[in-house]
Amino acid sequence: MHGARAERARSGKPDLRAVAQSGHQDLMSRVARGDEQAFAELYDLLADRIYGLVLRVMRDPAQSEEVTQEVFIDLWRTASRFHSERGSVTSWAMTIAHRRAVDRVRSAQSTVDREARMAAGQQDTPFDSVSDEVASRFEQRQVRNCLDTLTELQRESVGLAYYQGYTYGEVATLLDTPLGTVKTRLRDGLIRLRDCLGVSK
Amino acid sequence: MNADIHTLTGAYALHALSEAERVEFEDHLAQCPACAKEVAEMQETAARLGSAVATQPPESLKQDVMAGIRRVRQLPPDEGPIIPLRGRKWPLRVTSMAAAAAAIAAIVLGSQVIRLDDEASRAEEQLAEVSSRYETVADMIAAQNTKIMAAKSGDMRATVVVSRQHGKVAFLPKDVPAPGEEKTYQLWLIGPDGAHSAGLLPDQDTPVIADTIEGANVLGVTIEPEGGSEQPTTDPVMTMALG
Repeated sequence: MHGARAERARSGKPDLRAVAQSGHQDLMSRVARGDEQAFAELYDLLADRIYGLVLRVMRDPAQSEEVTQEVFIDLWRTASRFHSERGSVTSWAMTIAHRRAVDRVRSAQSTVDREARMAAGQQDTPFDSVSDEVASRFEQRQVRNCLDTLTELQRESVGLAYYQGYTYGEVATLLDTPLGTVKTRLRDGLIRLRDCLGVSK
Repeated sequence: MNADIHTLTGAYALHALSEAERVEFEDHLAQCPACAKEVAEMQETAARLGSAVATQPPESLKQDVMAGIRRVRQLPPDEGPIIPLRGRKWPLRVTSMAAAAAAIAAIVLGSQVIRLDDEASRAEEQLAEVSSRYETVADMIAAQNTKIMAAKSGDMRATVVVSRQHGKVAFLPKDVPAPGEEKTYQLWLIGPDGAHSAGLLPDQDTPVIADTIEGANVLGVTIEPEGGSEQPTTDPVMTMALG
């Protein structure tokens, strides 16, 4: 990342991501001080991403709204505990959102129900059908291009775990692949995506 | 670094671990800076995957959220020593042990006051019981090598205090849904030789204090038939590493 940043600096183009990052941090400091206006800005910044992700995992729009609301209240409550050196605001918020959505589907779905679905081999929506209403086209294309660099097993494993909220054990069952293989595919798949997307600390 | 547990970084960042594995992995994470860095990068990566499916929520959601935050107090910033907060990504810090003690007192006494109002006849007896338990918890907090953890699992929240010096674990329920008709919450201390009962939760407000068991490194909570069970008969509703 440093190399890329230096290169952009030389070429005179601003590193938009870096600019956005420092702006987000200021915003978070204001939110942490109880500034409701700043929180409204944070909402505008993150609402589409959080709602989209939660909806993707949960499928039910009404429940997704409820969970999105819970996520935002959590962000408000814990704003002072956000540490920019540990990651970006977006990553922090999306991690909380994903966790909540996954917890909710896991507690709601009875094991029996899930096992029945897995046995039937049903995967409701193919991983590729990305909802593209408002995601920035550039961002989406970049993610899609990078997903294309993964092996099929990596892509399927990452997609089932992240977008469907399955545990890696469930992913192994669905893909009829040994547990250890899925575990490593999740890791090397994410590493490849990380490098392709230029994510680094 | 254990190579095998290290491969769980991907599954962890995607929330694809079972509850027990997550607890174990978070323990490892606290001692493995390389894993923590890798997890942070993977969470950034996952956030990009999430951003790619962004969808506009209904307009009304913003008003709901803004109305919602007005009723929610924000947590103070952290300045003190880090205390691992199970069930979350972000560690909780407390300004001082005194603040932690005060917080625990508020949890314990706050909820008890409500109870006592409701059940005046048993008030005196209960207050004596609670204050003796509370004294133990206060002693535990004041001791060296005490770990205080907030745990959250689904709708359930609790604070756990582990004092190596006292050889005790205190479980302080916070938000605990009713266990169901003729059911009870049972606490377990789980070690390599299996689960040992650490007592039943008398009700949804009263802390439980148990002696630690040599080698037990996980506290689990299950729902059992009234009176409790010899061994857990259901999957735990909450687990946390005692470290």
